[in-house]
Amino acid sequence: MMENEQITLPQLTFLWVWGIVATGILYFPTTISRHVVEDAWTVAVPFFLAFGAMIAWLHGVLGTKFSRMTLIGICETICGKIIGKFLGLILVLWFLFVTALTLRLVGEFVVLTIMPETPLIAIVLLFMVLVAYSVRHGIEVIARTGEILSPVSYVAIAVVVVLVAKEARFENLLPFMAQGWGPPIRAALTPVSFAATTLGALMFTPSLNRPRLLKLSLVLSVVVVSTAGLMIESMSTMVFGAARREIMFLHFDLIRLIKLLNIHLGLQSIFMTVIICGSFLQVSLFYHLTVVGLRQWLGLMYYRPLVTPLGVVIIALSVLLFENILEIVDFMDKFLPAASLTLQVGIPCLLLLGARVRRL
Amino acid sequence: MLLLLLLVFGGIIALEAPGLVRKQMWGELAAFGFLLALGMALSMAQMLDIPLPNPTKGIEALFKPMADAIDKVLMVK
Amino acid sequence: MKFWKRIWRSAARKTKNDPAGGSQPLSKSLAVNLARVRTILGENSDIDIREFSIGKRQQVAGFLVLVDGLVDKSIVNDNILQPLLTSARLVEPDGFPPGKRVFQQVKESILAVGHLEEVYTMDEVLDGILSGDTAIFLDGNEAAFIAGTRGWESRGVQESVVEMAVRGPREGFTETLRTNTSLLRRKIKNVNLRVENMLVGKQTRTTVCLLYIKGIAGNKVVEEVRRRLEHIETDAVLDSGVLVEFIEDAPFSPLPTVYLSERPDTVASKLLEGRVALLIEGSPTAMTVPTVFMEFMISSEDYYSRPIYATITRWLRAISLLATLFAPALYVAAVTFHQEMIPVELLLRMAGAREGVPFPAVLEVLIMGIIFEILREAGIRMPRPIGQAVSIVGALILGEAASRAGMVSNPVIIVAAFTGITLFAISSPELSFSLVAFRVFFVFLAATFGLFGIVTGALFTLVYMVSLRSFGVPYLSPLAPIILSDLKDTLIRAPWWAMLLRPHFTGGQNPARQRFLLRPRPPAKK
Repeated sequence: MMENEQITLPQLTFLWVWGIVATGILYFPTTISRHVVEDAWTVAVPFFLAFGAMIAWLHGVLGTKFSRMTLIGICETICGKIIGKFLGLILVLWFLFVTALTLRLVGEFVVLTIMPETPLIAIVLLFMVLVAYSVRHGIEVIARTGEILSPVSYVAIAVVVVLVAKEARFENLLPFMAQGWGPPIRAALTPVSFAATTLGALMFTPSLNRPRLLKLSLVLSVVVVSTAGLMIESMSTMVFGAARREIMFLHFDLIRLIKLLNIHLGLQSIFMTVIICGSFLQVSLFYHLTVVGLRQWLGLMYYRPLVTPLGVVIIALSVLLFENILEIVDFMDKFLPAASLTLQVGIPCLLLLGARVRRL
Repeated sequence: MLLLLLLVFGGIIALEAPGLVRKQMWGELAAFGFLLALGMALSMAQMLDIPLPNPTKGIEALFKPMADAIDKVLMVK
Repeated sequence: MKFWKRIWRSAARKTKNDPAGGSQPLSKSLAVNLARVRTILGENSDIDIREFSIGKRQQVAGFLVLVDGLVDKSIVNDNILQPLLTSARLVEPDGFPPGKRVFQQVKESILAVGHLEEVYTMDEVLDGILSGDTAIFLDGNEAAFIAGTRGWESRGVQESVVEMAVRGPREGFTETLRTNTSLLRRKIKNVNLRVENMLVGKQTRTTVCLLYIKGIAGNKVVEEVRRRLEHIETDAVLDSGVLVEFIEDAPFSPLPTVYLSERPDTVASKLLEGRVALLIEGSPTAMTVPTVFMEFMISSEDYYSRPIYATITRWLRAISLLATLFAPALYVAAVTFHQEMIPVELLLRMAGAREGVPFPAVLEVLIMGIIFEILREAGIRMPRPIGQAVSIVGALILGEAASRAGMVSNPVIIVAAFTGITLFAISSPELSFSLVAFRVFFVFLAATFGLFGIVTGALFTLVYMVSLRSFGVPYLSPLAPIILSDLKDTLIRAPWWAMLLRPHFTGGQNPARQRFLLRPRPPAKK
């Protein structure tokens, strides 16, 4: 049984905004710059918005149809015991992988920007202790933490964008669509593959207070992300122009530029804080749904005992998975979309099809 | 360093296991044990520099055809 | 484990036995009752037993028992003894047949006290006299009277020293329970204000008053408070602080989860929000539950001053809270790890000031922090004139000399002083003491992990606070989970006419506080 927890739809929306974009704010600009520069903003608005919303809608439909079950339960109901178990295992392992990946992303960022002399493992360890602590408290606590952090963080990001606007040069956005449709769509795939993690929301549909509005909530979070993306991507291009290709952690440098009354404000620290809070929510979210999925897959009663040992596995994985940051960016650019879309769009499509065929 | 790691694992067991035994949650205990053993093996191997198969490489190999196909369809490079 | 349980159990059994045998019913014979009272109360010098007989022919014997010093002597003399000894003679000689009817007659036409009850066991008699009432025994009756004669020396109603306010009522609670409940009754003249008594403490038999407004307070919360109070089985609860530790939800929490106040107006407003108040005999501090974190950031004065001013004050308090928690940690992190985040001019200044200081920044900050806390502690416990001397010596001379000698850098002194002052801006002493612990935690994290450590620590604290509950109410409640209508009374203080609803979690079952559209407007022109 689920531990008796309830989360509301605004909470879910707040959580998934971070689930999609928290570490993304740092890495998407880099992956996007590989394909487009001038049209970077189009990645956010038509393309990411369209694909992301479609995928979120798909997941919402699946979740609402089986609102009493978690994703693992859905797999088993539709595909039968054996295939269902197999699909469930793949999904649980995938989310385990995503958790480890996001954890690594946070760690790399912290090490590369502000703590260059601290070993990665120490950062990851401290962060994971925090995350495991909150996951043990359950989704309700994570959701409420998200509820209190999100508005503040949105305001902080908006303020930063406004302050940067002084440095913006509109010419940098031209020429418009010189490379055609291909590159922006290709560039949108990495953010979209994070948007596709909304599949994970189905791991806890039973604890939603109004599961009927799941679709709305998920799509809304995609919309919020794409709005933020539009602002941030266009601002990055307008400020840096073609130079953005060369810069890792673009926004960190973007914020370094902010001056008010000729004083460097040192707003990076605020940005840094927002990012860490957001990634905390993101990793907690993925971690939680991995644990909950695993509990369900194993047919256990409680997930709390699984939290700590799984945390150890995640820490080990996050260090093991990649050699260095280049490898991570390569992976996120090239292979992540393929894997994510296959698993997180393909499987739900199959499930819906199966449900239609078996008239469930 | 190794000792410290063992100490951490000992701490985790001491914190979690007695409660599980007391509440007779054997399934949870088994899962706990398995995951912890896995985590221990992974972290020990990393500490002792034993090469491990990297899941990322597996995922990359598995999805390479599809990734290439995507690039082809969108006519990138 | 089992061994300890057995020891505990046998100890518990031992404490339970009752040497006085007071639970037996009273006897019909006066002599027996007198003897039992004598044996139970023994050789106490402050117990007065006064024997008398009433009636024209002094045909009915009796005695009264009281504790000297707890009773109002004039009531006993004028309203009890006087009528018994004189007015009783006016009654017909055969108007006093022995037995039950004497009792009725005495009650109906002789004893001139407002509070009079008949009791049938020795326990009730003892409870009564030990609380300052007078027990009256008459021959031939299995009952005794308890006459309300409480009246003892006590501190008058004064302004609370802990919770000062510029505007608003000045009276504060005293050590006398009855005075305190009357202070609340005077503010809420409503039959629905329920005042329930409970006895807590095996040795002290302290009265604890449970107050709530029926219809606003949730039944579940009231029931839960009652259950927790009944659960207590200990020797003594001498102050509300003791009781808090027995009933709070998170006993190891560094953050207070029960609200304490000495101001009747604050407690009355909590009652009106649907909370439950506990008053305890002998303590001027009232408790209210359920408690949310925001209550500690709010002072009662906010509600009496203008909304905009109150809002600004609340923001100042919030800033002080953040500053007092994070200022030292941020300083340590900035100096140790993130020099690039400090504006260049400031960095040069700071580097100049830190030149030649032998300690790392962490140690400096910790030392100054400890010195500051010691100064504060020394200042609090001293008589006021000496306290001032302590603070002058500490703050001016010590600080000045330390920085002159180059032992600590000036910025650290600034940080320590700033932290200290911002701590005082938080009105609740319970909260401000607990913040010190968090501050040290953050400084350590800052010293090891820099800004990342601080943020992680802050998130730890946040998650912890979110997970706390007080009597079923989430501790951070109008903020997480967000209750939109309650946000009017958190970081802003909306005008009174706009606060239409009571707090969701405490007054939710009867939410309407006032009529809609109470905003004052000029009269409509036609």
